[in-house]
Amino acid sequence: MMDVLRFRISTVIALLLAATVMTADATSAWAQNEGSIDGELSEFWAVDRKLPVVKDKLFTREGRFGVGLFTGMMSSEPFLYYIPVGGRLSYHFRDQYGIEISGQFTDVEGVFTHDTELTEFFKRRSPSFDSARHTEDRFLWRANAVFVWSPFYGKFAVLQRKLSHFDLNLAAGLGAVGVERPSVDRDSVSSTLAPELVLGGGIHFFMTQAITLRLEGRAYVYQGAKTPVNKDSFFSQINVPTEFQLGVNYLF
Amino acid sequence: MFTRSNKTTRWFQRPGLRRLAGCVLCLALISAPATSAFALDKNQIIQMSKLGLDERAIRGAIDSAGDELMLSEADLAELRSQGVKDGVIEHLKRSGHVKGAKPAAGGTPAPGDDINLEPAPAPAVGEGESEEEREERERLERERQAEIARAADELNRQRAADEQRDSQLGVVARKLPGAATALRANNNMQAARTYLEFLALDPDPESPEWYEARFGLSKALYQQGILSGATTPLLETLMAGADKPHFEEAFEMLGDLTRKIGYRPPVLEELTRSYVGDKGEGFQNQYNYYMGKFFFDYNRTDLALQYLQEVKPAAKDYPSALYLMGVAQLDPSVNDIGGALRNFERAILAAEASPGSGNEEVLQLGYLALARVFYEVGLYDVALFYYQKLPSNSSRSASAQFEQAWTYFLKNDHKRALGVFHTLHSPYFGQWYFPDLYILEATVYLNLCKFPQSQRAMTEFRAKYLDKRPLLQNYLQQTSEPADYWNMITRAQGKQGAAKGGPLPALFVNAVLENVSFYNIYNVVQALRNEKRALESNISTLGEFGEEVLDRVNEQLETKIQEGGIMVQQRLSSVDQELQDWEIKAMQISFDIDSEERQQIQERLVNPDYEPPVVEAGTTLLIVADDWQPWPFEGEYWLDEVSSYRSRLRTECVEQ
Repeated sequence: MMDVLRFRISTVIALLLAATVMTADATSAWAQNEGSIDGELSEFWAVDRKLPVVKDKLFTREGRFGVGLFTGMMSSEPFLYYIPVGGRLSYHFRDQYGIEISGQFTDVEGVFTHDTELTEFFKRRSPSFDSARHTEDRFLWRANAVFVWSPFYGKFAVLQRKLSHFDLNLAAGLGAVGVERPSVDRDSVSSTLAPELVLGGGIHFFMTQAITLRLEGRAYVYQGAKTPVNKDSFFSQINVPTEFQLGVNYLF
Repeated sequence: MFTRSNKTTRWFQRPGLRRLAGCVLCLALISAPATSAFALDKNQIIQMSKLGLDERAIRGAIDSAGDELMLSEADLAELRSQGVKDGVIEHLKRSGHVKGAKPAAGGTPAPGDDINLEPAPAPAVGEGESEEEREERERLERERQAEIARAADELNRQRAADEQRDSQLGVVARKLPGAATALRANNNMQAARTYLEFLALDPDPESPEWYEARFGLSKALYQQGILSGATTPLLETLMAGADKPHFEEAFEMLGDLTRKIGYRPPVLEELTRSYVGDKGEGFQNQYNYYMGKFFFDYNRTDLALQYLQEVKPAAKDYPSALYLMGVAQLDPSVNDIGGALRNFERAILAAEASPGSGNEEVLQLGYLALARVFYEVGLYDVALFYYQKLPSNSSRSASAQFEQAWTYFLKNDHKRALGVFHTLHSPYFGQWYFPDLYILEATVYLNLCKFPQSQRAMTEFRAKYLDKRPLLQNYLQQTSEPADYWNMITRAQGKQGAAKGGPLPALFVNAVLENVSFYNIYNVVQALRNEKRALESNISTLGEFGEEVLDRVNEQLETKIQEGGIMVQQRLSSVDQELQDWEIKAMQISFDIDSEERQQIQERLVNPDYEPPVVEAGTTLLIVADDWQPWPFEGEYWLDEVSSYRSRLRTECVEQ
């Protein structure tokens, strides 16, 4: 058997060596037509084939819906910090592209909304300090829809042991936030709905084919409460709270 | 040669006028009774003399008589006595019609020699001439005079036409600078029309205007994508000499035409007569590379090497020249393997030194060539080193991987051989036609006593190749026209068509697509189709010339498609034959698997505590970077990993 095979390889090598020479011509030949097999031929003859980096991906989301729960931490505000809870619904047109609708709730003081040390300081120093009237907006809930682009897909290992696949995503969209807002003169409080721009990014770890662990960051750009200081400047009223989220998604 | 001021001489050089003058001469000859000179004898010569025929007419009749006319000295005396002129008698001697007389060298005047169109003197009235003879003589004389008059009229008309043409030439020649401007502005068809108009007037081929027009026409057609049409005027431009102003540009166009449509007629060898030593170094490099490649393509290795080694390191084509020299040195007629290896290495170094200069292909070919040569001489580790230099995204990577599989197999390095098999089964290489891959894989598993895996490889081979063979055979039986084969591959029924229920599975279509001959023909056909489209859209501008070129392109297209169809048929037939051979080998391996499995079972019964050895039969010396990260294969193929798979299988054979 070995002899047969050895003969075979010699023949193959000879033929290929001949082909090597001939191909030097062929590859520089004129093949600019929109012919039906130009694409197929480039697979066999291109010097630099345009190949996808990954084939037969283990974790794919194309055409799949996902639902998820998350919690997080928003500590960017000076007077309050939040531990929101929320849910998501997503659909992925392609592996890299999807849309996602999410909503979160924060309107339970002491549970989802907490005073910062600054607020507590003011409360200790001034009994008349009312955190609702004398601070800024208090977030009650928010809902948004974002477009998600996941251009990065990878796997990682620690100490020579593969841990997981992951992807990195960028998100952008629009939403609305419900806030408890003090009046300009700080003598009353009212509930207000404000539109907001949502920007963010995240990393998804593929735990199984169906379950992903999500670590996200979101920044919400909206027009905040007016104060005697900023009431005449729109840009001074712009507020950008940020939050980190930890969640789990189920794809089906 | 001839100049425009020497018009008379030029007229005679024109073929039509030469023919006309010849006609007049012949008529002067055949107007005599000597038209029956096939059996010319001395009496008829005497009769012609008595009829007063011109001496030249008689000489012509004698020349037409051939060898049958042979006279003696006595006959000559009689001719003299009958009044035959001495000139005729001398001509008889010179032309070898007299026994014993030595024919004079070049005695018979050539048709074009010293032709005088002055009418011959009228034949004298013979003594004792009958009435019929006189009437006949006068009739012949009238006919002769009429013919001479007609020829003179024809000459006059021709002269007038030439004068008119020269006048037109002057008018059109004044448009040539405008055509050159249009050419620079890429108004190719406008320029081509002017050049064609000028050339249609049959200008002097030695004139600078003719040269400009031929070059301009070739460039206009070339720029318009009418490549076949550009070849003839381009060739004429080149053959006009290297001292001409557009030689370098024309040569560059030639190189492009050769690359695009494979234009390299043997007559291009004449370009080696051109002296280019006074040209710039850049052009000399270009010239030497082109001529070297030209001779290389015609398997004239010695000349190829001679020119290629003149290409200097600064040249763009330097890496290609080195690579071609290496391949030429592997030719049995040269057989300089050492020199070939050195040139491949130099080609690689040169290509690496100029990244992004379009030498990536030479780089890959250089590595592949080195690997193959080292494989051939049995230095497998070195061969593997070079095989692995090919990037995964190169189309040649598939061949390199396949040959690596064989190399590992021959080295008994089963771990890596199996790893390469896995690579070749990946989606990155799945479309390649490698039927023997499964045979090889089954053999490796058999050598490791992995009988189920070996059987599985054979099963996959049958499913992927042998089970589809009837479709191929059926198609081959039902299809006879080359054009049908070509259309099947290149049109809707090609690879994409296979997925839509075409006549052949993609597997067999791929076996054709990966064939270099098919690829070359396909590219030429595509170029011809492009040219046809360009011609058809400009046919009104190009007129008769365009029609001629279009006919030629259509003819070439048909020929190439026929050629391509035959090539496809041959390839598919050879695939069918190969599969038949591999089927026989597959049966042999299946038999080996069964018998070896039985033997191993018996051995295990004898030695139930046997532990298979850990050490592999063969290893491969490879430099592995410290920062390599081993990943378990989980079904996902990464491009940067695909050529690095290793199997962890160990042999299960029981040592006897």
